[in-house]
Amino acid sequence: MSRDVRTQLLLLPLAAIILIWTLLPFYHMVVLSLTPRDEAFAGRLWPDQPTLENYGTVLTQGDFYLQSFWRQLANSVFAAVMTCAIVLSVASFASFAIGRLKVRFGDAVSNLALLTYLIPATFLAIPMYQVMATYGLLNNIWALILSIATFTTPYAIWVLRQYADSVPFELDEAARVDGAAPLQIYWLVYIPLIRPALLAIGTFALLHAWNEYLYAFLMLSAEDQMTLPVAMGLYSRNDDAPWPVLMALGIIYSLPPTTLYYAVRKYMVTGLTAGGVKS
Amino acid sequence: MSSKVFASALVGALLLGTSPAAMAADLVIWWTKGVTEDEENALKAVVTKWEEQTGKTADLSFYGSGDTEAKTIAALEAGSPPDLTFDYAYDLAFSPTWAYEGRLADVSDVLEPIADQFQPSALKSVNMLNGETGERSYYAIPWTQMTPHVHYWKDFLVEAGFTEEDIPNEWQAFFDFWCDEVQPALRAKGERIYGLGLGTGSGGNDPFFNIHIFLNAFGAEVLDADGNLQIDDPEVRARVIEAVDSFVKPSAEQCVPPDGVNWAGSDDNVSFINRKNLVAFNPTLSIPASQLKDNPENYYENMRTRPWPMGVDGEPTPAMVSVKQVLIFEESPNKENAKEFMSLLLEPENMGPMLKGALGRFFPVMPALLDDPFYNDPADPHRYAMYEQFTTVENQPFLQTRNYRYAKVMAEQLWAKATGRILLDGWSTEDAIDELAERMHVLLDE
Amino acid sequence: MDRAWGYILLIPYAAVFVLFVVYPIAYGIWLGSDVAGYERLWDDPIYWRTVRNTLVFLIVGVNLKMLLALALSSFFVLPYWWVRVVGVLFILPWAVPHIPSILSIRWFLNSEWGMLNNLIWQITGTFGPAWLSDTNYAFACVIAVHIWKYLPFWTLILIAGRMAISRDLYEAATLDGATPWQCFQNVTFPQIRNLFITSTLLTTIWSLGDFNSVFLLTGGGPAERTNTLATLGVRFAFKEADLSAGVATMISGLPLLIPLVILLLRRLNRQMAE
Repeated sequence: MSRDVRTQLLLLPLAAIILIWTLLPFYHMVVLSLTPRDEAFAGRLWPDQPTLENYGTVLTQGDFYLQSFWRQLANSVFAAVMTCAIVLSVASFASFAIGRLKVRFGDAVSNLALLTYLIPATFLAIPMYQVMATYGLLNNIWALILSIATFTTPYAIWVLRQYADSVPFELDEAARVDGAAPLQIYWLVYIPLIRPALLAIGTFALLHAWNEYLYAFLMLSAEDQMTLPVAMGLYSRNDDAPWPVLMALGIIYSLPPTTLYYAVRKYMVTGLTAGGVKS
Repeated sequence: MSSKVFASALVGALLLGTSPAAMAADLVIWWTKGVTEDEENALKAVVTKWEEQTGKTADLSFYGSGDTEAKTIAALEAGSPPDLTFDYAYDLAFSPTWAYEGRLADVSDVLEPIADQFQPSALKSVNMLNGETGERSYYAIPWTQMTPHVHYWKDFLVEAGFTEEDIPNEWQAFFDFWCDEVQPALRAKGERIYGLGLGTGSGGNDPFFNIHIFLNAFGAEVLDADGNLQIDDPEVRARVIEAVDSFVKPSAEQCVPPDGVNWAGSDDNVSFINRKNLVAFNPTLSIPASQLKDNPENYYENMRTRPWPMGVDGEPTPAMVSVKQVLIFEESPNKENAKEFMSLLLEPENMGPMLKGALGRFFPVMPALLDDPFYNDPADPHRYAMYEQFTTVENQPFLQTRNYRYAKVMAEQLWAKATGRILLDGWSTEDAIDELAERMHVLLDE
Repeated sequence: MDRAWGYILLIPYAAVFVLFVVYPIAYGIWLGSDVAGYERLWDDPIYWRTVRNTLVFLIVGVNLKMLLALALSSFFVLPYWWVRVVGVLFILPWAVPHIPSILSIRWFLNSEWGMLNNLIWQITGTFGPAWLSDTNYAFACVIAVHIWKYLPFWTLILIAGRMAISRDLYEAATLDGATPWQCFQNVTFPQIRNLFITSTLLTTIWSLGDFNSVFLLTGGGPAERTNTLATLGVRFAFKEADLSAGVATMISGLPLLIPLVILLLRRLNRQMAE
């Protein structure tokens, strides 16, 4: 047996431990979601008669607590897309102004932004809630969109600045010589150049808004205004919540972000390491 | 992502849109979500009726239990409360304080014309002190009432080799019976089961209800009739300690599922319904009611509801009744509309179906509604037990009605914290009660 | 002209900043200036318990997580195809949203009907531990969930850092007869030291704000014994209608948070300048 094969064999138990640790909660989620409702408490490793009916219940809104499922899915999509759009436009404007147009105090703005990024959002939850109430935005999906955009934009500005600094200024200069106005440079030169970074932070913002629980839970309460995670939390606190259906809902809710994440995984890692933590 | 794809995604999202917040409605209602569609539809029907009668618009939102209170707290702070709201926690934790601070609208003009339709005790519970005027008045509308009930699995009892006649009716003997007789008998047969579903957690309201029944059973009056704290009185203190000892004993002796120390609102229901323990103590009939549709044999055959065992003095244990309230705030923009709507909702033909839609989980506060086989049919093993509990046993309102500050004791979950000291930190009951009394003084003394 | 456009393009961000950062912070400070909130905290044993929990969460949870990430990064840089497959699956906890995963874990660990204790019952005939209601187990589970959720991300970051190390350094070390451990000690770690420290600071700050791992798993119980500052503050504000105590709880975390943030800002700016 070659040394290399032996090393690999020795590593297998480690790989097994990693996989069990990582996948057990998902395995459990899948098992429960395939379990008939009245066997939820059996705690079996695999249901005797696996069924897809829990998924059907979710998709047909076939439960009192699921009567707004499609509406809530649409809310989640809306919140994610709008957050993404706001973050991308606000951050690309700001990073362009600071990095390319060299506004005065640009570095100060950028540092302030960074500071916002570093404060855990949870610490601002109480005043943010009050402020949203003052703006009359409570129980309005825009409260969620605006808060997540607020917490994601600073990071986006920072990543975009770092990324933009690494792309040459010559194209800007050339365009300027041709008589392009700043807005034209922004749209025709800057945006195409930073597209990979935009993709990374756009995905980041999208996922952030889709996944957010605390702010959504605090700010959205009516069933037709809430996003899916809030609906799941509400459902789980119900007196006789059918957990198999809840887990089916959880899987349906998790599929889009997980797929998206894997689709753009390469960009995410580059984007996050470019900005988040540079060695 | 090309900008075209992005743009079309944006447009798509905009089309999905959000309905504009119903700022302009003439009546904004925040109601805690019910358990059945019927209940919700009954309220919606009354809202529609009101809209048709008056030509005004109403905006009705249902929130989860716990969410309504959180939203209302913040909205009050921001000066934008709803016009009308209902939640299960108001009477226990909030409205006495709000009434005292002058934040609730006086609803005497709604209640007084129909006062004779309510049970006097229900009216008394909404007659709250306003600290600004120094006078009592009606600051909430009584909606339903609840008191903890005792449920048990009759079929498990039989399986363990006992009959219902074997269940003792003396206080401590009752609990010991399930822990020392039935639980071991069933475990010997290989059942994975606990005796009592007597949770002690701080995440829900049920333990707060139950501990007060225990206090009643031992005659421990934490507040005197005028609402003064008398927990330091040696005799009261001794009784409180006995009551708390009795309350934690089953947990300490592993007769309550270990997760009972951390059950939130619904976990005690879940545990009992799924036959993980033998006896449940729950302030509504939600446990049997949940079985009515899909498992009627549980409702009619296997589950039973009974009164609490006799207190230590040999008399029936007085029940603690919590009268659930509908509130209108002083700062509500449409107080008159809210009152008008409440007058409509309180008409028995509107209120009755809504309470029935909740499958009889709650007990009406209007005697007229009780003259109905839905509640007083002796063949119904649960609703009839509730009927008897409310009509034959002495009922006491919660201590919040004696001293509005007692609501803080509920909000801070002082009793659950004290039992936690004993069960989790191994404190003596005396020390736990000392800590509790100290905090109570801070909260209750002027 | 450029400058003018620059300011115009900064307006959206400035608006967001003023409306949703400056105003809430100012409002928070105003709410936090109420002494009653701090008096309540000072007298509340649950608060001190929470402070202790938060420190344990940060010191044990964060360090354990980062050390595991460092160790696992050594595994995931190995050049075998199946290691890459394991790596792809390993990312799942990070990619899947919090709420379904943590709810699944909560059900799994339920002492009465969860899968784990059911297995223990079937195999040993005993009831199994109360994972989420024994105070010590419950907080250990909270930390485990936090690590489960965030370990993949930080492992990924460290892997990226290691990938950037020049192969020449390793070849030189191997020629000198260095063992794998010596290679790690003398080549790998010095190269990613900066990254490791920055990451640890960053995750310490973020972990201070981790609401979900506690709230969704134990809800802060039993008897409020597994709260961290983040969940206790929210509880005071929204469950007990005591806004000043809620804000005071959050503000009391600032003496820990601010030095960390300053330290980190300095490091990041230095690295940016390089």
